[in-house]
Amino acid sequence: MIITNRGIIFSMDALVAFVIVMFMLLVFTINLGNETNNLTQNVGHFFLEEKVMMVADSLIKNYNEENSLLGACVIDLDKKRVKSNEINSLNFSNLKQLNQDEFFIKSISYKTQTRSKKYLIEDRGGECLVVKRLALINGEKGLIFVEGCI
Amino acid sequence: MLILLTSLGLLLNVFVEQEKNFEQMKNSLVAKGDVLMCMSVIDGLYANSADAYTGEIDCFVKDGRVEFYLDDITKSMSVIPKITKEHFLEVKTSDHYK
Repeated sequence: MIITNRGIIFSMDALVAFVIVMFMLLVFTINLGNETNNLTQNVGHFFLEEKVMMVADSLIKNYNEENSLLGACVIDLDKKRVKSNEINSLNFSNLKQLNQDEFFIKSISYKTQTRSKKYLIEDRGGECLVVKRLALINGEKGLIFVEGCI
Repeated sequence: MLILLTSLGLLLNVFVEQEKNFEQMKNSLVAKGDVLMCMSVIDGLYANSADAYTGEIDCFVKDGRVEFYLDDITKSMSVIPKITKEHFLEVKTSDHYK
């Protein structure tokens, strides 16, 4: 029996065991706290990545007259259709910011064998991420970079 | 004392379980992000926007679906392009884009 005439707290064995268990609990709690922080960061990062990817996808798959950020593709007037994955860099002249809470697109840029250009949409800091997409830019195979921030 | 120790044991178990759940959620997010990345590369090749992709992609193609594994997490997405080979991804460019 651990209980002595001085009570549980004054039993040295029980006290040592209790301190060890409490120390383990402390270590677990600290570890769990760190894990939670990491997960929160990962979730934030994932949602940012997903949003930027969706904007990049929309950019290279659609044509939007009002905002090229949502679509900058070439239109085939004969076939009456949007030529997805085919971008005309002239369409980038009409890039407008999206109204999406804290999320914003900082810049759009492209790079081909012969040309590269960057269009700054909003000059603001934050946690940013760049997503690359393969596309035909002015008939040349190249890369589109979409930089989104939160 | 027995009740106290049992409670502490249960609490520790809850912590361990929670940590496992966190790890799984983290892996799930990484897998989902990577499968999206794979899809975008495949789409680019399918749409004749690149001749080849020389970067390393860690995803698998099975029965018309792109899959990504991380520990015990599997994320997958359906694909339209005809994709062959497991270790060297070969995407057939659509005639529509040629």
